[in-house]
Amino acid sequence: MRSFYSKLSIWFSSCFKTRMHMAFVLLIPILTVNVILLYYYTEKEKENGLNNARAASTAAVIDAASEIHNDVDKIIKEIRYVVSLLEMNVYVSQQIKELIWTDPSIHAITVAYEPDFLKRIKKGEFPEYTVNVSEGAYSEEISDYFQFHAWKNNDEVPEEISKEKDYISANWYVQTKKTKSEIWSDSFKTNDDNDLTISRCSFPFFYKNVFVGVVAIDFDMNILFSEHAVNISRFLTVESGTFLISSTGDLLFGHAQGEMGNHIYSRFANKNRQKNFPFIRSLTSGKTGTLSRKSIDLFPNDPKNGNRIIWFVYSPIESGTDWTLVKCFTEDRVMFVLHQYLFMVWFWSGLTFLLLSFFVVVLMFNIYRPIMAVSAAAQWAADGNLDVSVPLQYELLNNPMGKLSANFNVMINMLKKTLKLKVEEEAKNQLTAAQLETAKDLQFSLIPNIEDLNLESVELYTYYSPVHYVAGDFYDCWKINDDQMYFLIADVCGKGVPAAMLMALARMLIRMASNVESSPGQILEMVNSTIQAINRKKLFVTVFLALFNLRTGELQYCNGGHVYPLIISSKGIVKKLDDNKNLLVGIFDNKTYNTRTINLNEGETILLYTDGITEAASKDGQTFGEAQLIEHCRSFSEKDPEDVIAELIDHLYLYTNNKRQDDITIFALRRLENNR
Amino acid sequence: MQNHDYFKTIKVEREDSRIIVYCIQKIVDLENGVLYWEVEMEQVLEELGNRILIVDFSGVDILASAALQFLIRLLFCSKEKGFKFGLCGFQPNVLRTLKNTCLTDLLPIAKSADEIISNINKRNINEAEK
Amino acid sequence: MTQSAKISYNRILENRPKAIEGAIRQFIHWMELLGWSPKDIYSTHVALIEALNNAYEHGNKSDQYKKIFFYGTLTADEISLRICDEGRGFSPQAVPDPTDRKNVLNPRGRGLFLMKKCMYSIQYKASGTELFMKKYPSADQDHQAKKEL
Repeated sequence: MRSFYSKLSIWFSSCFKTRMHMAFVLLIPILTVNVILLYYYTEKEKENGLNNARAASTAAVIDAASEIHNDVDKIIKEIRYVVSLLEMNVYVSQQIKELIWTDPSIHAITVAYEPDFLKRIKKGEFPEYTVNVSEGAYSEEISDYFQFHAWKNNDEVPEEISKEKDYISANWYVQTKKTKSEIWSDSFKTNDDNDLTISRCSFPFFYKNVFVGVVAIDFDMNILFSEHAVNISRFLTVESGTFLISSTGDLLFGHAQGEMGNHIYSRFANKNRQKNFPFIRSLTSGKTGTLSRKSIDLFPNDPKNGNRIIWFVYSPIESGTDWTLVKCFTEDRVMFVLHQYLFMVWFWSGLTFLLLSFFVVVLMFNIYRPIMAVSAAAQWAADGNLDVSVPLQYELLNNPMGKLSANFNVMINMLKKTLKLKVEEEAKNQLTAAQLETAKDLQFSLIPNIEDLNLESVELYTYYSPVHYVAGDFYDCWKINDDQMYFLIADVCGKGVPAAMLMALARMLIRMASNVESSPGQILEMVNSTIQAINRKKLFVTVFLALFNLRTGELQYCNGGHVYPLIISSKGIVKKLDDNKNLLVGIFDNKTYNTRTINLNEGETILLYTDGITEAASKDGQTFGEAQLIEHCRSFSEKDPEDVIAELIDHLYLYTNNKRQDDITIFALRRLENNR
Repeated sequence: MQNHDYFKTIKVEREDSRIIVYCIQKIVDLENGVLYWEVEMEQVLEELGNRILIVDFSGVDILASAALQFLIRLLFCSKEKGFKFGLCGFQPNVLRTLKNTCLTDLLPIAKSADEIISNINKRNINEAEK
Repeated sequence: MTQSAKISYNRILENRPKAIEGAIRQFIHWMELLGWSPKDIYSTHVALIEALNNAYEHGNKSDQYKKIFFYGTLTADEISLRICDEGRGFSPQAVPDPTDRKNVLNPRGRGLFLMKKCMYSIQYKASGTELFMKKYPSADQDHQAKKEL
């Protein structure tokens, strides 16, 4: 899983070589997904919008239709009342005039009598019946034709009696007489100054089940319609139309706007049934509904608007009129607002996406890539390759990443410099170490090898260990003849190179002085005066010098300020050789150095040492001390000196926890017992 | 003949077909008793019979020249007396000493007791075929 | 703990195996202390055994009253040994070559051969009673060759 992930991230980062790569890999899939989602949303919104529009427009049309219906219904009720009055032979002119006066939709009312009925009246049938609409208006003999007409004329309601027979053949009269029920006519224009659109509703009225005549009400369609058309016009005002059509599909009244609206109007108004809308039957079916058609199907002659979809929302007007209220509008107008909204959605999505992409690109190139570059450079540096830097293009970025890159480069340079310095210093140290190593070899060579001395009657054990390459301690041992041998131990003050330099000097001086002087004391006097004369730095050296006779065991010695040697008997009894104390060598002029003589007996050991042993400090600051040294020396009785010394060295190292501070020199000489 | 398993310089294990002698001295030289070793080995040889002698040197750090000399004498002895033997378990340092003195070609040296046995068997088969 | 030190001594050993053992043991101890490699310590050990055994057996003829003079100087870079016996000496050239097949049975050659192999140089003086041996750290042979020049 990890390898898959790492492979994925390698592939991923390798895609960002160029901006094009990035666009491809990163943005296009996201874009595609976004587009799909947005498209889906848009389509859903459109669908919802259409559904809502459909529902809303239907509701509006229904409302308007019902209001028209209510109005008409109210009027019809009034007329029925008038009709009932007429049937009861009551004078109705006043009611009629009042009706016209009060209801703006009524333009005129006509009462027309049936000539047959008038004949029968003349014959004397129905003597109680007065063919008189208004009281006292008619006292002449009954004519063959009689028509009462009242109409609205501005603020007045004039009335007129007509005895012409023109109404007999009028459709409204004939049809009503025939069907003996109310008839609604198609709308017609008055063709007078008013130019009104009228729709006439005719009611038959009877007397004693005899057809008496027809009451016709002329509705001003404009008034009737406009009041309510306003309600649905609020729905849309542009390129729409509101139409009232009869059950036969004839346009009773219409109100259109815009090019499309006028197209539809013309089509509705076309008296040629064939040229009307093919779906006219649906509209006049008496049901509420909606339907939509492409403009190109309805108006092939208008290809410009061909792809637009036109809606027809229709609802019947009850109350016996068989009218249908139809609202037409173009879908794009309905959806206009929604489309605007959706367009904005797309627009802002697109903009946001672009901004986001831009931001991502900026992020990538101003942050991610610089980070990668710095990280890669850091990786190289961590692997040991300091010849690395973050590319200049990242340094120049005007943001924190630029600062990071620049700082990184500065840091690497500093690291390189420091490393170089360190390497140089290391080299210098190594050179110094090499020189010190050589110095050490040289100093070791100045310390004699015992095998060169050819000693056969004494055992000699020496241990010489500088603490810092070269030491200020030394011992020396040389024969002057077959029987006599000088040996010494010395300790130059200080440690390391300066002490070693004085050590070399002192060693040579003592050796040379031994050629001139014959006793240890005199030798040390000579050495002392020689050194102090040139001793500007006031370095001194402590010396224990002895002249030993290999045959007799006589030991002449002079102690120039050095720690007292130990004499150990074959039985392990230790005593300090502390009876000769002279000044340390090299500081003071004109000092005498005294020589003492003892005899080293057979089996006895003389042990010379430097204070590196006794002054050796433990972790808690305590010194090894003379007592412990003496304690070790007691084992000379049962062990070989070499073993004793080895044990002493081991003990010292344990004691100081391997952190000793001073040079250590041990020189032990044992005189053999003859009969061993 | 003593029947102790532990001698001063060797430890002996007796089996039906072989006797395994373990050298228990870390340093086999004069003062550590090459002499003792010789004496004790002779005792083992006396009771060897037809069995194969295996000498295991895994406990030995240093073989002095005197010890090497004894091994050569053992080789000649085996040829004279007709017993079969092998040496095994040499530490790398000791083996190097043997190589330096060209004794690795002369002496029957193997890595383990089993290898000695199988070498001897191979040789027997070869001789039988001849 | 490796120490930087120079150890130089002269031991006079009784001609007994125990004394020889002790001296060798101590010498090896010093070598360890000075930081010599195990390989060098091993080969020096072998050489010391051979040299001292020769002194004991062939030089002093196993005479317990005789002495072996064991002089040694050790540093981390060099071992210098001088072993003297109180014998009559011998001729090193007369010692046969053990790598030669015909000398297989000869006991003496092997010890000398081993010593030569183990040490950098061996030298007999005073008619074979004095043996000088030198050894340098095994990684360091070139360096020492230059030094000697």
